[in-house]
Amino acid sequence: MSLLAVEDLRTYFFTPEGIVQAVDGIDFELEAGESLGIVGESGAGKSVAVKSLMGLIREPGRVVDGSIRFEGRELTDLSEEQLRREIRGNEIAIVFQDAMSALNPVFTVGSQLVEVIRENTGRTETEARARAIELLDDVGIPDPEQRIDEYPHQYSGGMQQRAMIAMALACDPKLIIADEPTTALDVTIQAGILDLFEDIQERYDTSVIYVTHDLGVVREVCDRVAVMYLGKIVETAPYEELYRNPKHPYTQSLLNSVVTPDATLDGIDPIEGTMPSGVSPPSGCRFRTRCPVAFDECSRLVPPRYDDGTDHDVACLLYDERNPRDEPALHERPGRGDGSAEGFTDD
Amino acid sequence: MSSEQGRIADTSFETESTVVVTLKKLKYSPTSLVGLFLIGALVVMAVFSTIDNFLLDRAVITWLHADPHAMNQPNRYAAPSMDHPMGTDQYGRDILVRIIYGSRTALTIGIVAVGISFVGGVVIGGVSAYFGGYVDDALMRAIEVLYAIPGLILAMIFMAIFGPSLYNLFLAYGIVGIPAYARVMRSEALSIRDRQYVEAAKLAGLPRRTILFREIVPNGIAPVVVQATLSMGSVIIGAAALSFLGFGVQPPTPDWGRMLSDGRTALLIAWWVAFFPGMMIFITVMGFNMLGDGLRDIMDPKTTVESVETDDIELEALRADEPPGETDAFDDAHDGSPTRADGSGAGTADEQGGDRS
Repeated sequence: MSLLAVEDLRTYFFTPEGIVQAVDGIDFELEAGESLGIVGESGAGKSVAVKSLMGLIREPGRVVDGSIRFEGRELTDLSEEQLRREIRGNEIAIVFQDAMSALNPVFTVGSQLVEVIRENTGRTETEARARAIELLDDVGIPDPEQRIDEYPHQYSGGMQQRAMIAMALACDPKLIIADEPTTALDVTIQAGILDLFEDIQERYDTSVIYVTHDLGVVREVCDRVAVMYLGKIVETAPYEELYRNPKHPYTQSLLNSVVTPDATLDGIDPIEGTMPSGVSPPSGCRFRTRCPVAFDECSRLVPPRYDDGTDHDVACLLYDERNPRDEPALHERPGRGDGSAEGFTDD
Repeated sequence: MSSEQGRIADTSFETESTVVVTLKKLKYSPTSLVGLFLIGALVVMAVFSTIDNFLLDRAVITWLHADPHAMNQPNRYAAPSMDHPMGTDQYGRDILVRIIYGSRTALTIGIVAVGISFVGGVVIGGVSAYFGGYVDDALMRAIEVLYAIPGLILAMIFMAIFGPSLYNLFLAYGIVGIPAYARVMRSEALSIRDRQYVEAAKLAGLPRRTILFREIVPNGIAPVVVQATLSMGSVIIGAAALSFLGFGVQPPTPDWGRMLSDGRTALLIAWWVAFFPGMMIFITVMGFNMLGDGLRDIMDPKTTVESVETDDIELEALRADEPPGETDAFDDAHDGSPTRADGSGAGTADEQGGDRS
């Protein structure tokens, strides 16, 4: 049995402008100890999807349909109080993008850690403090005995993120959700934080879901990747497979738009246009308005997930067996050198 | 290791709490220093009269000057003199000692009533903002009903219901003050509620009361503290007004509002009976307002209270480097707008103006 199984999850926001289908029927599974990356542009619904897992969607949003099974328990049936007591913190923890604003500025880091440990494990003040020092040491904060009594603003950006990770680890969660964990950090610190994630994943035997728009992060730490576009997962694959053989036109475009050190500006191929509004998504396939290889059927049929039995799912009509055009012709578009998608995977 | 410890010691100045930093900055604000001095004097008077009244049965004040309760009918309405620097009232009691004793009620009313409003307002405002929805609506409508009635009238209604006594006066003014504090706290809490650390606390599985009183309230308390010092003055005036109208402190407890009321009838023949208590109310309220203004300026991140000393230092350093002949030209350019180039000039100029006044 998988640790987490999400089926047909739909989270809508009921706004005066109309219903925003932020997450519209996504499915994924996560095994214990596995790490999954959810990638996509801003507004693709990544954050809403993971917030839905924690029951954190606030008015005017609502999880309207679908099932979230965590260790066999249906999370959508739990009350707010049950979620708080049994799930948040001690089963699923979250690490935010901006650690500075995710730490309470008026209390010391230690005091915040101790509070979380005491609340979730019922240890005494002294025990909780000892545990907090241990955790800070684990996440690589130097001098934890001294540093524990400092305020968040006295920590550097990387240390703040480490403190956030310590807080997430405080109650031995089975799943950590990292929402853009490295976006606010500079590149040298990013690598350290990602190493730390890999390290704790092994040591604490937790699963991790990375939500990110940075394909470099995914490459570094994820076993499997799910690509989201406008509320739907368009492609799921083990990461090596995804880089070597991206099937969905969106994934291909996404990989082509990555800036690499040796690419000239012409070699980068940004995706044309912006993502349509979630209020009135395009009919049929949602990517068709920006898709270089869209054809008539795309506006009529919502592409199902095509599973060729290799753990590489894709939701694109190009892969329908009845479809006469069986090969996406992306790298034959005029004005582009070919092979840059493959070129990216080679290094 | 020693260098490590040195580094840690070096950073220790940053660990000072906001309260300490705020108090240290007070020294740059002359108005609030004057306010602090006035209130300090009042506190000394109040503490002295409390100890003297309850522990020593007015022995010290009698020995020093006169018994505030002792009547001396032949000597009524005596004009200010060496014996009675502020004169005597209609029963021949010395006004100076009664004013000293009156500071006790004035200050206690200020502190206790503001304390009740503060706690009540913080809890109601915080709960209202955090829970939102029907809770928010219900609490805020109730608060608005309270707000709609003039404070003095409302306090008179409470006093009429509970009966006139010092404790009911505390309570009445405490309740009357709650709406203002609740609204300040609510607006602060509304913006803090959506901060990420509140969400992080929720996700860490902390209970709602912890989130409210550890995450939200401490981060939004500063404006409420300013509100407290600023409203202290009006509460003291209000309490004096109630006593003046006969609803407040009952005789023979000395109280400024009561003394003012008693002196009113004899204003033409003995101005000193009403004048000195009125002066004391004025000075006290001014003291609290000056302190409150200073605190507000200090806590407002958009204004700076310190004079820009670093500029002077740089100026000295630059002057040393400057060839003697060019010093004047440099001075002119520099004095013209020391910090205006970066857009903070207006605030600095205001501040310097404030310092001089």
